[in-house]
Amino acid sequence: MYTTATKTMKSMQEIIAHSAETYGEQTAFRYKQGGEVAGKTYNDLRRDSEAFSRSLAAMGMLGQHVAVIGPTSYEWIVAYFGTVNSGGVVVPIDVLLPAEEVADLLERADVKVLVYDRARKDVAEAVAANSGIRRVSMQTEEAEGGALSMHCMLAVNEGPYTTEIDVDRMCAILFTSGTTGRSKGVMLSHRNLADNATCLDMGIAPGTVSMTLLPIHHAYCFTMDILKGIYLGLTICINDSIMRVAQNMKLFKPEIVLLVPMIIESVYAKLRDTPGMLPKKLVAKAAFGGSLKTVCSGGAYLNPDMIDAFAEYGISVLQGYGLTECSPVISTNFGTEVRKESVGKLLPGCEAKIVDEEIWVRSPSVMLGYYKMPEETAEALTEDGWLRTGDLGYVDDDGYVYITGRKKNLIILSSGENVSPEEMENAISKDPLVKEILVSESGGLIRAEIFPDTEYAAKKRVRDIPAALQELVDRYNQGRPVYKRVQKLVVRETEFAKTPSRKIKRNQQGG
Amino acid sequence: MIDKLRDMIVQYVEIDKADITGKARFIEDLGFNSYDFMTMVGEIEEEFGVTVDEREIVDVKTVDDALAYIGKLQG
Repeated sequence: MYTTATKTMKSMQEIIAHSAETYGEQTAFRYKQGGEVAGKTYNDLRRDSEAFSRSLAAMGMLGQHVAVIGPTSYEWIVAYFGTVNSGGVVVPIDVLLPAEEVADLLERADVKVLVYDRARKDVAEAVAANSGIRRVSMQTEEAEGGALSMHCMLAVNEGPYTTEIDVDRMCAILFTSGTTGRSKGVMLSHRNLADNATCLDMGIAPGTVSMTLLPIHHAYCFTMDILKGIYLGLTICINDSIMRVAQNMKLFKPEIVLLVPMIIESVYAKLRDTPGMLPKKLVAKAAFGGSLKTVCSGGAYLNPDMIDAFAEYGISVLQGYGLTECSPVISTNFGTEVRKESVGKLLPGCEAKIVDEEIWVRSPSVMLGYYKMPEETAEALTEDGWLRTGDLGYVDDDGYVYITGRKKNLIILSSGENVSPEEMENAISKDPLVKEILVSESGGLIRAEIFPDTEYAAKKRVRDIPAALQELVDRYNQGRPVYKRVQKLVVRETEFAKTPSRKIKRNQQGG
Repeated sequence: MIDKLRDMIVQYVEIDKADITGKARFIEDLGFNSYDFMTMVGEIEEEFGVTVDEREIVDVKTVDDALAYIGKLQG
């Protein structure tokens, strides 16, 4: 067992108050607005978060579950803190999900208020037709179609707000892909999140410029980019679209960014292929705005060769490791103590042990459980608080974690997205033309191998089975985010090999 | 327009321009990952002077789809 000492904050209320008191009029956020760059200070953040809490009180919605859907924005962040700091539960939703999937998640998470960006007006409309959920639009100045305007709410309800927070109560439900084919709502407490963001001093000075570009509904982005950034007094620049990372790097000139392996590898390929005779450090300066020194990598395993490759361009890449169930960081490399092959040193206060090759962790950041899923919770958590990570590996004598494989059946893409093969298999196999199906990852793509029901095809006079299956897959993909799509279809001529309990063996792949 | 697009594509993936047909799918056939694809879309915005809706772009699968989409945006 391995453990180190800890000194941390216990709630997000404490973090917001600390930052307003310590950094006050310093810029907390910078973002593009109507062709200009706008800014908000740490005092603005506290004032607006408290106004949001007072708005919930005025709506009679204190302590309720509030879903937030939209790309990263100042309003999104205000809604988050305004909810949790008034004793409510925030439910961040993936902005790319189809409306019907969002509706299902809102119902499962017992959401009473939906805060939405204009990009997801469709979700608000669907909700308006089918439920009693109150709607708040992040942009409109005036109330629209029965929804409230967040800007008006904040203006009308400005004023201080504080309440006693039980730091061990649930304050967030984060949906994550489940191995059983149904997404699970990870319940996190104030202490879980605050501890994860504040327990490790990474030696980053207040005023350091960061840029946030990963999806904010993911724990990695929210905890490390936003919550830790606020605690440290960083100037957090908001990238408005994944399409414009390169342009925004030049605009905001960040010193530190949080990335996933897919982006790190793509950026490297671009740097490497830059023509001309310029020294590498100048190439990097031109590409990243001139100030970038540190890249934190998480979400999926990064090829350690990237660490040396970026060092040549004068940039340190720090690899970390975590799961949503752990708020999410478990370990990270930092400072001069980088071990390339490792996913970093356990955070202070995080214990780890290896049970049958699987890494188990126990820390103040381990979740309370899965929302309304007692069986899944019992599978993940032991009675004495250990989280079974599902990852195989070991921890060395200095507390550095090494990952060697995965026990649970999840596809982890280099974008950091976790995909449940069963979820896709269950959905696609509803079509009677599909007799058996196996979804897996191959060369970074999601691949579905299907054994068709030839009797059914004959009965229905389906002549071209592969074409019919491709059509089926295309229909399934339609409207889904790229990471949830089948990108390669293989049609089998024989049945899959089965286990004695008649389940398809997962480690087989045909041509 | 397709030539301009081909010039862009070969900056992201290793492929001969001649192999970039209208029917080619960006991810499955040309070997784009989703980040490279989105970055190229950002470049298309600048190059063709259009503004892309991130949620519409998920339905752009092939080179022909991209050309049609750009054409629609240019009105």
